[in-house]
Amino acid sequence: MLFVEFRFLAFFLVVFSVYWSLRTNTARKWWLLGASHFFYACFFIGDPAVFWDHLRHGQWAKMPAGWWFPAVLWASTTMDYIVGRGIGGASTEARRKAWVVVSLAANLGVLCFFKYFNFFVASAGEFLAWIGLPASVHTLNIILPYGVSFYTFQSMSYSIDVYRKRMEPVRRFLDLAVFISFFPQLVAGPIVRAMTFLPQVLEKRVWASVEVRACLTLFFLGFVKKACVSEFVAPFSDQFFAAPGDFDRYGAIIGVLFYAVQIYCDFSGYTDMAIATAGLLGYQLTVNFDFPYFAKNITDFWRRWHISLSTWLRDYLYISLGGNRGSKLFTDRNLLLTMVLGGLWHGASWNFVIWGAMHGVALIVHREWQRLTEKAGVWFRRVLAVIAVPLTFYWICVTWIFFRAAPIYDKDTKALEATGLQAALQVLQAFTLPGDLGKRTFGYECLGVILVLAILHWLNSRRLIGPQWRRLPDWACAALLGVGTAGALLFVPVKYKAFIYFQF
Amino acid sequence: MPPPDSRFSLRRGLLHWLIFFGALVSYAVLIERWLPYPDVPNAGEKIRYLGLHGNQYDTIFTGSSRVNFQVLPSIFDEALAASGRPTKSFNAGLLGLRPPEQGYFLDEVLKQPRKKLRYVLIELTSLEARAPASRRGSARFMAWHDAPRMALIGTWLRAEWAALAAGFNTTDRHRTHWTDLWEPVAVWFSHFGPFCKNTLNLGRGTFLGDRWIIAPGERAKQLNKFRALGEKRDGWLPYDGARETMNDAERTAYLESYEARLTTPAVHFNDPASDAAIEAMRQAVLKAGATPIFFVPPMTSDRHYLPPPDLEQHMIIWNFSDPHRYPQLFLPEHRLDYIHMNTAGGQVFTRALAERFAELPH
Repeated sequence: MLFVEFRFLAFFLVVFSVYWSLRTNTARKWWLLGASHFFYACFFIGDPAVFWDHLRHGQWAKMPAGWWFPAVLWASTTMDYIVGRGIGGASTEARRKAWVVVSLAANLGVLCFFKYFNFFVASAGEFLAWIGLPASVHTLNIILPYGVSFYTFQSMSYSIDVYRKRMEPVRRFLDLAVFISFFPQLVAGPIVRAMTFLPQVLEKRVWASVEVRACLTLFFLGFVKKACVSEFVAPFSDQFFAAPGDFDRYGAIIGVLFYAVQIYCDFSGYTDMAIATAGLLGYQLTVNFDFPYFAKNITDFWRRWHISLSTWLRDYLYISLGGNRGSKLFTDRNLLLTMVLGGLWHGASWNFVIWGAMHGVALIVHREWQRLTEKAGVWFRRVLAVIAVPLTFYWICVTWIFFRAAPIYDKDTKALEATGLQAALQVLQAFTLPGDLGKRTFGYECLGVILVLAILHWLNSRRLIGPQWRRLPDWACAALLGVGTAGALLFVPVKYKAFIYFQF
Repeated sequence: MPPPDSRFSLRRGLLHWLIFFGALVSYAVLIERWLPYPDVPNAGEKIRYLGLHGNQYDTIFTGSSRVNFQVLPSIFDEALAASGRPTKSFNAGLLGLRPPEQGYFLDEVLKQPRKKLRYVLIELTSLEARAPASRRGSARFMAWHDAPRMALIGTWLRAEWAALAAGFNTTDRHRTHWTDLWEPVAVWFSHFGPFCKNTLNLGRGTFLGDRWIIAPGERAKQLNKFRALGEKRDGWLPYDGARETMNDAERTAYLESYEARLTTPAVHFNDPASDAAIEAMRQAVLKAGATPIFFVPPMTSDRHYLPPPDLEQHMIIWNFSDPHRYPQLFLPEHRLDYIHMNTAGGQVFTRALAERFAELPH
């Protein structure tokens, strides 16, 4: 059940109506917990009647793949609840540490097993073969539970924050279960911190504090980003990345730029809808994007892109590694390690490791650059201000090439034509070097699409649209949203691609 | 409902939702006028082609595969030219085209340039409300769900219920059960979703992406290909390139049905929804200043739709489903099965159509 689907609208209307009609906070939380698990089940349950029939007769082999996903979610929640209570009741620092180690080991163990087991085994096998010690390696048929990367990070944030004495452990299991399985952010974030979310769970939400208009507007914007823009540009980037050698330079530029648009609109669109949905239920989620493509440098980019992940990595990984409390080399090592692990978080594949490393190196270079240009003149700074945004965006696009890299197969024979890395290098060549690799290209209208999107994005980043919108009376907003929805539906595909971040 | 301590006003909220939906539907209906015919395979090409060259044609055929694959405009025009009555005809048939979709497609055909149009030959078939599941998710299925067609589905629902209600009084095994009433409603709902999507023009702008993904030069070539129009660009396609004859089992089955029709004529039936659909098509053609001619292609099925006498008296109907009158149309070498003919059969059928057409007063 995707946020952009009609059935989500129906689901949410029921959840919303019942939720606000319940009087007590406990009843509301039980309702939210049930709704969240229903939402989660919709991803893998298939036909509910068939599922129930198999379950009733114990026909486990016939159950849909992933029917046990909720068990992992519950296990993670229960374990962190026990850990939280354990830390709270521990009499010595050593016991507190032991409890938090249990949480980290269990959560990271779950993540590593489901997400990285096959990757590490296969990579080890390849490495052994490379050094001349071929070994027979066996991978397992493991399915990655939906949202595991997100909810394990949330669980860990709870244990660590309790350990760091930033918050008290929750007394009721229900509160923690609602925090971890809250459906707007369960499958693809934003990664919510226990510190910011649990106080909201403990306190009864008040309808008067819900900004309905802002939430509906945000949901609409998220819908447009995902359903119209991301889905519209996706076929272009798919075609280009499937055969980068066939395209001329213009086609390559459009292919890469459209991928940058696609991934931003896909993920930020999802986040907008998640924030809006939670907002309508009275909960505030973390802001996840702040016009990242207008970042002035790579450090600035990571303050604006997937903010909930970058701050999580900063607070729980980078600082735990020692942060910048050491020599320059030590800080650089921590930065690189954090970004490589951040890359690996996105998926068990070397292209994500390379993507993370590229960002890590860029962050280190930027730190050096800042140090070297500290005392630069005014003119130098002015020139830099002009080229900083396009230069940063160009580098981001280059890194997206590795993020998107996928093996290329022959259309007819299905034989492997290029590995992911080879494909990425081919795209890189087409995107960065002069000259045409092939003759295929896209229509010139694509450039117009990019310009229109860039202008709209810029206007929004300069806060030129929001204040005008807020000044309008409610009826005018309702009418404009109706007109906008009619316009947006024109570009909505009949069938959607899943959100890119679902796979992480 | 929100708690009473909130600032929520139910009346205000409802008013804003009404404004939202009003603006949504009004704007969707408004922009629909400027949208091109959806990029539906075959249908889209035929409409686009008629949009460019519609003024050339004076005669248009429309119907299902029994028209698309069995009516050859080149032979029709040739036969009529030989009889001293030259025509320029176009085959606007589509695979599986039956009312209510047939009426929608006809409306779209009639919206195209048609300065010379004088005759529209329409295959006479009953309304199909229970569409096969394989068709339901398609863009073509969604495209025809406009208000007039939904009204026809509504007529069908009422007729079904009326028939079921009559069944409450019977005592035999066909007695209606209360649960039987749900099935037609479920069918109606299977049309309601596409109707909502179609009214809101869901995905109607995505054709831009399909066009822009191709370089301008290549795009012009592709837009000029018109694969669905056949070699002569008259809308006719052979039934299936590789299949021109029946196998032994098909031949046996066909001959059985043929023998049955020789001894027992097919039963004629009608129903309010089909009657309304046929009458709407007749009126649409008349409004366009042309003459509607309905025909039943040669088939050996045991039931055919024919309009009731009060409607029939205003219509020109040619029934080719009579093996006694048109024996050459039922020869096994001209058939693919009991409702379809092969290319050779199509040529014979087209000539038979031309002969009837030549009998029309000038």
